[in-house]
Amino acid sequence: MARSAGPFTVVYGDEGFLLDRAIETKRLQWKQQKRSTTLLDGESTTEGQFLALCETQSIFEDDLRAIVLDNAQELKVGKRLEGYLTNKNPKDLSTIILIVYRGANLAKSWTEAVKKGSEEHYNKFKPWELDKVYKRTVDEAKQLGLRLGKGVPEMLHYALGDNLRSVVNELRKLSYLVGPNGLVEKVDAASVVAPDVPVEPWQVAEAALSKNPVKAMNLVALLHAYMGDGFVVPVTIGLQRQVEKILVARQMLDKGDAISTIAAAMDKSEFFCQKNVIPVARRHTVRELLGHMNTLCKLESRVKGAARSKRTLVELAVLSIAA
Amino acid sequence: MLNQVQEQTEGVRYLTKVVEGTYTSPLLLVGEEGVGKRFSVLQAIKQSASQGNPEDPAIFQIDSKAHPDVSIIESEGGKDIGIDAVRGVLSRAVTYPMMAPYKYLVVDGADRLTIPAANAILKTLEEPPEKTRFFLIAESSDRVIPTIRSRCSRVRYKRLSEKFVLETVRNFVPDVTKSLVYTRLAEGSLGRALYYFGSSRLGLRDRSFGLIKAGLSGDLSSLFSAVNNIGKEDLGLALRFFEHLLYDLAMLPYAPDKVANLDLVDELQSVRSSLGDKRIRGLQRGLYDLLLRSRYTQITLDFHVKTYLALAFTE
Repeated sequence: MARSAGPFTVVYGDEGFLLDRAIETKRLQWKQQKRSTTLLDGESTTEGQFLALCETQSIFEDDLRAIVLDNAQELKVGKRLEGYLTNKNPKDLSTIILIVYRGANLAKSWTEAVKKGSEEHYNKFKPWELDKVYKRTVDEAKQLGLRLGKGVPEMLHYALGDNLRSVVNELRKLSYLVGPNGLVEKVDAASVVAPDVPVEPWQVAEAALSKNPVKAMNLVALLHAYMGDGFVVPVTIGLQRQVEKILVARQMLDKGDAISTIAAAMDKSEFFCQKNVIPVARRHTVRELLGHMNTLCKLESRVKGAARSKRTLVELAVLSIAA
Repeated sequence: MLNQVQEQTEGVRYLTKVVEGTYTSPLLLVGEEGVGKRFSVLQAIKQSASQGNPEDPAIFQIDSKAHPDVSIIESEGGKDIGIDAVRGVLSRAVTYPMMAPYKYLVVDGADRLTIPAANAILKTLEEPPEKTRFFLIAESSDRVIPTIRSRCSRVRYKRLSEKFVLETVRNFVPDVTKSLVYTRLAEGSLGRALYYFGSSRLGLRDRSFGLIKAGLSGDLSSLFSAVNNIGKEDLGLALRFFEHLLYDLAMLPYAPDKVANLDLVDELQSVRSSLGDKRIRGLQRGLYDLLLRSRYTQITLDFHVKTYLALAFTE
């Protein structure tokens, strides 16, 4: 990736964590070279300001300088800047300019800078390139002096997604947990990662009212695994809201109201109503739904009170709706 | 001064003893909102601080909350009173009085104290400073922690008579029927009657009545959206009005002189004939259960109200 050194270094890509790391690495190098560093943000810098800084040097500054232009994609490149990039002497290394372009593809206006220096790019992997993702996780772990056991990169990916910053954060935590040169097993990884819950409480309500008890109960089990008993109130409220909506739709259907009228009453689009609400409403009667509302009122009082086995109470309510 | 306090004989008796210096124990004044608890305490403090002189500048200072010896801890915006609100005031209240014969500490909302705040006050009550008088005000003594309750003399404030509330309301509402409606809806609380009048709460009462009409139409969509609209305002108060309306519907043929919503009598008559006795009793029973549930648990009130109304009007 890196080419011959020149006054410009362009780093680009959509993997923000690696771009930040590249900036830090360069800054450390410059520090050793005793270069003074100036940081600019392309979002709040104009072409004129950038050029003025590149072309003029204060008498109070060191002889060797480095300028970092972060968010270069936000800076509008005009003719003056293009001229500066073209005419810059490639052998003049008194001022080094690091251009950080946060985007997958580098804009043409910066290619002249690449010709006079070096380029590095750090792009995210494609969703199907899982092997590369896992390999990168292993490499990052090695840098921290860790060895990853079987299934750990997969587990980290499942819990955190393709978010390298979070993965490295978790690896740092693990390095404290298992110590230098330690082997990270799945149980260690599970103790530090805080995965997002892959299911929402309203999905239980949706499955229950669609008369799909298997899906509803599986979702309840999954929620319980992630949230513990904390899932009971959100699921109850989700069921309440969903049952109320379906009851209104069912009653309007019975009255012979048009779908457009039902959609307007529910403040939803006609398409949404036709696709998601009406088929569910047809599976219930008004009488049944009223019974469910009554059950859910009692359930709420109990799960918010001092009842025991709240999970069982919720499961019974879900089953009674889904059955 | 204490002679301005009406109808609360028990409260006046205790407060007079405090003013005279013959009673030093902290007082816990318990009664519904708007029956004159805070008013009578402030009158007693004024009488004590001014030594009965109506021209004393201390009276003005107390009215403008600027008297150095009077500290009041109160709930802001209906929220609970936390430790931060209590700590500063307590440190001032236990010092020696500057102008008045005593330091006075009023806790308006002793039933709204958080546990740490209640414990801080308890600590002071356990060893009360000689020159400080304590007045704790609460709507319900059950919600005051037992350790505070046991250190105070409990003074009960009863509901005010309809005659007295009506006479006062008449000063603001010239319409006889309307003033009687405000009085009866307030249930012996002058503060509540004036609040209903001042914030035009009869509109909310009318919207509560609209729930019965929407229910009679049998259209759940409009019934639920009516509940949602009321929920944006004050569903708890709307239920209180609803309770009155149901009571009126039940009592109309038997005791028409007890009806609170006198301005709606004709409409109540027609709604009553549509509902029938049995359904009115069912509505009253359901509402009682609902209010009981909402009292002891933080339920999603709007959903419970919708369920209650839907069941009552569609079955």
